[in-house]
Amino acid sequence: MSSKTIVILCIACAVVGIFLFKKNQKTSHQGYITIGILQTASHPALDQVREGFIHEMHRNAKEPIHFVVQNAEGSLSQAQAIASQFHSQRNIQAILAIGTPAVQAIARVEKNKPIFISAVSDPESLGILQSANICGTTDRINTEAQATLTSELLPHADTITILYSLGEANSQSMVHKIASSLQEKDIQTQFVGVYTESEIAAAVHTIARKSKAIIMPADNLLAGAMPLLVKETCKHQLPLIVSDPLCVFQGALAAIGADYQDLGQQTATLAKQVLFDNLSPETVGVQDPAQLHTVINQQTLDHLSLVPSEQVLSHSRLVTSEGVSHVR
Amino acid sequence: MSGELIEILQHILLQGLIYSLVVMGMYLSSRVIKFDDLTTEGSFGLGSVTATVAITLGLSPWLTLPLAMFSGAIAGAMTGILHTRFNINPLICGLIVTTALFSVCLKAAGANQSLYGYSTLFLPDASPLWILGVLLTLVTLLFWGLKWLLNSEVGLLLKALGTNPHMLTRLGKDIGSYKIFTLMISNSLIALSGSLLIQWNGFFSITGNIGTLIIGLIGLILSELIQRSFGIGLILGAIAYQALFSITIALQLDPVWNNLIKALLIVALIQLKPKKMIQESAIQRT
Repeated sequence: MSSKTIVILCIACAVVGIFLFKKNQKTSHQGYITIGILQTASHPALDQVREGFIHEMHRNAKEPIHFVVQNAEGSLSQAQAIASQFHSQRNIQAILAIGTPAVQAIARVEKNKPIFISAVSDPESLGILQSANICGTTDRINTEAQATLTSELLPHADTITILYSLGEANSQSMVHKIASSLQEKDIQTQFVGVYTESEIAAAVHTIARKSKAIIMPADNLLAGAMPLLVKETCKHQLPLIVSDPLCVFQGALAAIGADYQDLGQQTATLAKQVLFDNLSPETVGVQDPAQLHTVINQQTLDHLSLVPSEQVLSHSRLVTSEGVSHVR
Repeated sequence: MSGELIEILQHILLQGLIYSLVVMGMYLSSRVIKFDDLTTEGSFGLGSVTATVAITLGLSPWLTLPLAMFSGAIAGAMTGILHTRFNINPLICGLIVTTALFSVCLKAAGANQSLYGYSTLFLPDASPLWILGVLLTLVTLLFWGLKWLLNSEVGLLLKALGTNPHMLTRLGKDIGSYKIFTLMISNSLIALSGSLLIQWNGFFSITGNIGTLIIGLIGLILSELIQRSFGIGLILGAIAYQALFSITIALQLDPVWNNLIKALLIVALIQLKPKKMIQESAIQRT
């Protein structure tokens, strides 16, 4: 095949691709509101925020809304490129940034259009809140609630290991808060950090020898490796307490945290106040998750032969093999 | 519409200029002395950490530039020493240094450090013209510096090191020191690029260096479509890759397909290579 044929083939593929998948682009129509969505990476929780947001924005919308969805797939330079395009495109009136790096990228270039942020653990430390055009929600975990749940589920656990990934700002800022909340319940803590997915199995093996359970913050690396983490912890009979309810569906023992779909909807409610009620983002502000859910996995519970008290069960949702049930 | 286009072009140009330093650094190691250096991501991260720490300590942002270059030179020297003095395979040396530097970076700056509220070269409110001026001056200065170096006597020896290392031995020169020297220069450029990027972004993230190697390598290959020897093509190649990035995003397709389209665009671009150049490279090889 000559090189010319290859060029033509590639261009043809690209053109066909563009027409097949060109679903987002509608240049600015009168009466439309266009929101650019910049997502940090493909990740179940972040995807749910996006879906929750889009769903809630469409519900009872006074004007038709459409969305330009972009995903940086974990690359910072891609996030920057997307941010600068959102900034320069006149038809994009507002931006939803999901995840810390996306928020940082867009906050640097965009000073006028409203920016809605979501799934950021610690917006204060990013130094972006003095910008008047930013509002949204955090996915801050309530470490006291997490510690209480842990002591209720595992009354005999005296030493617990906090597992987190060393490369993530969101985890780093949370682990010490988790530790001090656990210490208030008279539980000893240890820290184990991993750099990559490949270290998880070895880390769990080490932890199994010296502590009774694992607790982890909202951590993208570990959440992404949840099936592996579940397999390893079950092998060593270690209870795994997390903050993201999604992980419980994948087999972690229990979680207390925000539902990311709800979080997206909460962000959309704030966005509507800005877009339709003409409130300034500054007055709307940044909120923590409105509601925390306790979710427990029945199968894992049986595997560990744990029997939680009635009091815990009364405010929890149980995940069984058939689905979710609200207990009593 | 034209305003939008100008802003996008401006972004491509600025980010391209920053990454052109990476391309130049990789040209030195992989093309001049034929050393496949994987230290790139490590030294890029180290440069950005050095700048972050210097800025949060309140040092003048201008001082971050020599500091970052110095840190990169150390990283390059480590790779060089591991290779020449401990006889370790070049690829492994780069990986070892990159792995080690991850810990150093994490300890020094944490996983994510915002630079809001600090004065950097480009923040809080630098005009695009100022940023462009600074970057153009820096890149031009370094470009001419390297050009001068490669045409000097040392430069000739470095080129000989890549094509015919025995010649150096016969001249009584130590191959190892010349390799270390080149890696130091190469990585100091890459680290400088890292320090500029975080000042432009306004924050440091431990994962910010991921992908640098690919950006540099593709930039280098695109640049060779324009010019095989050391030349302005290195800068244009880096800018061209950023343009590919932006084109893919501007298409506003389902983002799932972005990387596939980017790959297709690269293949298409590489096919544009003129016939003459292919013949030239064939002659060079014989």
